[in-house]
Amino acid sequence: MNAVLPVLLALLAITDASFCGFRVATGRDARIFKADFYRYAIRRGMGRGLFTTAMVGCGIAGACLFTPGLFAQLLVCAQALLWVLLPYATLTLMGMGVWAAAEADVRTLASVVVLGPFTLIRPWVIAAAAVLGAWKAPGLTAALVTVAACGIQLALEPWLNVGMQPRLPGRGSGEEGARVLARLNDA
Amino acid sequence: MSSELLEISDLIVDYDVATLQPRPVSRESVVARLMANGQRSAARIVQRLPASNDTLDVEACNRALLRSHIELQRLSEEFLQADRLRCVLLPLLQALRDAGVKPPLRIVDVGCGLGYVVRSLAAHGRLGRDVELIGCDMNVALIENAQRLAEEESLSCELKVANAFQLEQPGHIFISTGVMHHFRGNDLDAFFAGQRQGHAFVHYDIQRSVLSPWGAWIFHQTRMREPLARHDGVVSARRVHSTQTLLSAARTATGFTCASLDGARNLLGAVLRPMTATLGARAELWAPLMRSMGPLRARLGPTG
Repeated sequence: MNAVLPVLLALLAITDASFCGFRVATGRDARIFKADFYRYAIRRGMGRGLFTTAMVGCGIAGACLFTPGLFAQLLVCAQALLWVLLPYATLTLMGMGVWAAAEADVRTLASVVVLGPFTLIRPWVIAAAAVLGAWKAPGLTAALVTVAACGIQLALEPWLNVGMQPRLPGRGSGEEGARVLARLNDA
Repeated sequence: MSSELLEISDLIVDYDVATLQPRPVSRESVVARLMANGQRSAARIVQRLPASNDTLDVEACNRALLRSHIELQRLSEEFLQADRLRCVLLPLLQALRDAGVKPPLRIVDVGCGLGYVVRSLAAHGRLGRDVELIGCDMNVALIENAQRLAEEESLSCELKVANAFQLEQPGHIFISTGVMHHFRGNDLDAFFAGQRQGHAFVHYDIQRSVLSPWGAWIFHQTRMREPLARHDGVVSARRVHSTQTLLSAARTATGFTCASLDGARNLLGAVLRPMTATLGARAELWAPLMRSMGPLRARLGPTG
């Protein structure tokens, strides 16, 4: 149990980061065939998710070395976080599964009922998890670590958004278009 | 507040219909019009658009429209709009072939914007070798980008800056997505009247229901970044015509047999199908069309 909760949270954080990567890429490329672009975006999100999760993990490991009993306190917080995050993640993944597998009307239902609204409430869900985790925390340090970890997860999407520009086709759509294209070509 | 909400995209660009040259648009007059209409947030968006001597910068407005259309395409992709259209076009084309209409069969997308539907149909449509896909829009910047996109992916379709109803080779089937709510009153009649030259039409627009503005708000908040797109998306959902208005205008102006497709009969219907179509065909094509439609027929509203 001691290892399961942090691993589960880390997996959720990386999965969420991958979705963030996809989301910041959507609506930025008007080509029809762009699976490669989306794969790159998901990998980019996953990469940054791995990085931030590793940083948070290292920070927590370091803090636990110097604060006896902190790890046990954090497990209490992790459990509280999962009470909020797991149902959200399960429903989101189910929605994704339905969208990927079903026919047009059912796909639309998955989008309208789950994928759209759940994207909207994502920041609030993470914030609610942070509040619950901090409230359940047996000590102040554990509460602060919980809130900081959730804050970093929330900051991931804006970070992924930095530098993302619409991919405009060819030159001639104004100076900005040419600049964006040049940036993409450079990248 | 006036009951007739305004969309920013309808106000910030203007052009001469004959020459398609852009005409100067006064930022202050657009802002004043939006304020007078009680649309303060829209006025703020326009106020932030660059202008010189009160004349809105055409390039900047076109860039905002382009970004909005790229984001809008993402919604069309999520809601499988091109697939939905293809499902209706296949039986329509079959009906035209059965009726002996001479190929090539021309499908014309009216107000195609970035030409997503036309390009997607060209890429995946499997509509037949005797079909020509043409996208028309009056906005030069959008069409230039649509042409580049089609060229980049070697898609077999034509994208033109043109009035869709005044093409040298008139269309057989007219299609559109999210266009009809831009036309009100006489303009809506003129929109349908232009299609008398064709054989059929399928025009998709947002389903009119109490849920539509809420759904539009959620999806434009979560999927769009451009303030103009966020604003106009929600206003569009509030401006959509009722099925009765569309059918009445379509029947009167074209004389075609018309019906709604995927019109929601209840709230669940509106959730399942956020877009609804107005379908019309010449009377002599209707019976063969019904034969070709198969299970899709059950999704038609009353015919008239």
